[in-house]
Amino acid sequence: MPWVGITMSINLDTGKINKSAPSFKGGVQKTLTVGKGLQTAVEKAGGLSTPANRLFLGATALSIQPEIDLHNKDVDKDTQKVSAARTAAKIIAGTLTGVPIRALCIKAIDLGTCTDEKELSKLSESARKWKTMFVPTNVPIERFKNAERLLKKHKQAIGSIVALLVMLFTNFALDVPITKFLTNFFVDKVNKKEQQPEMKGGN
Amino acid sequence: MSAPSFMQKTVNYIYKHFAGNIGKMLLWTGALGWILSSLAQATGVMFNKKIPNDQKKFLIPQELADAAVNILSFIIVTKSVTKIGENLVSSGKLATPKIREFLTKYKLDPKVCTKGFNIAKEAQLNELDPKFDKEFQKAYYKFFDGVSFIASTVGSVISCNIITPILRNKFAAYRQKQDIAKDKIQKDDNMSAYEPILPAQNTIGKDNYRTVIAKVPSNGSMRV
Repeated sequence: MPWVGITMSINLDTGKINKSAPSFKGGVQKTLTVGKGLQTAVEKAGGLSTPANRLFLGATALSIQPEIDLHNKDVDKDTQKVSAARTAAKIIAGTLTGVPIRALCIKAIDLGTCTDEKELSKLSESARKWKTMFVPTNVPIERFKNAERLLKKHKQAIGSIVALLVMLFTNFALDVPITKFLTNFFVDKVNKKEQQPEMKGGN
Repeated sequence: MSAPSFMQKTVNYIYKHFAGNIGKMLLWTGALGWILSSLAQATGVMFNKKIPNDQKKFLIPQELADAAVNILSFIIVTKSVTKIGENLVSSGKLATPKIREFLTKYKLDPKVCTKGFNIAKEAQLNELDPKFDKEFQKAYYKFFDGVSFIASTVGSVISCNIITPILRNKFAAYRQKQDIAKDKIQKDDNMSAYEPILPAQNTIGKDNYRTVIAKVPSNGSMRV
């Protein structure tokens, strides 16, 4: 069972509580030490990939945004329905294209940011060029040997630009047509559903 | 040695200016992404023949407002929530047992709630370990990145899924009402342009009306 422990400012040598520590000001403990379970959960969340994050955000958006549009009192009922249908369509289209695009971009960047000199030495000149196409040359490659985090940040920066360039194309080529198709599909479905009870009630 | 290609120069530039400040990069690319996406979607609505014009008057402003509100709420809400989460860890207020151990070992515990205290900076500046403790660095940043991720996700959900839809709907509804009212006024103006304007001499005054009516023979109360 994960636990959250609250630590006191304890002097390890004497075992006495250090009441003069700022963290113990006014008798109120201002620090929190998380338990093993919570720590593991937090660290796993931090290790989630960008596509997984995109999927999560898409799922939360789909459960919240169309509801807000459907209950928009400032417009008539038909506009509420079309707006909610369009929002749902846009979220689905954005997630369907966004998740694989991010995954592909990350893969491409990973392939192009090899900093392992042993591996690079086994490759031909042209293969080496491809494998290091996203590695900056204004720092020695050894710099990244013990600085995984720095390389990760650099990959993120490159990734966000590559994703933006790809989006320039996919927004118009994929997102808009898929959104249009799904919007019309949802609106037709809703209209048919509303007409059916009227038809059943006929003589 | 040949001069670096344009691609290599770009990669070097990105590393130099953004690897150390990824937040700025994500803000710019996020903002551009939202603007492009909104323009594309607004274009899609414009050319969708199945959507009536009155609804387009709502959907197009809604789409444009979506980008603007998303950018603003990202800056105000998402970044702030992320910053709060990161500060909780970097100041030592929220920590794992290993981080707490490190703080106590190097007698940094009294500094934990003081202004400007940052665990990563303290550990590097004071050179508390002859070789900076890589195991601790790994453990610290693993937790730090996790809290930062959760905080930014919570901030994104609040700003993109709650604040943005509410505000963009308000703006779009306001623009729709304005456009419909403008159309109505224009329609009325066009209609009145075709009404025949009666010349003044065809109207009879009040007194003349009585005189005329008095001369009309009465048919009694019978009406067919």
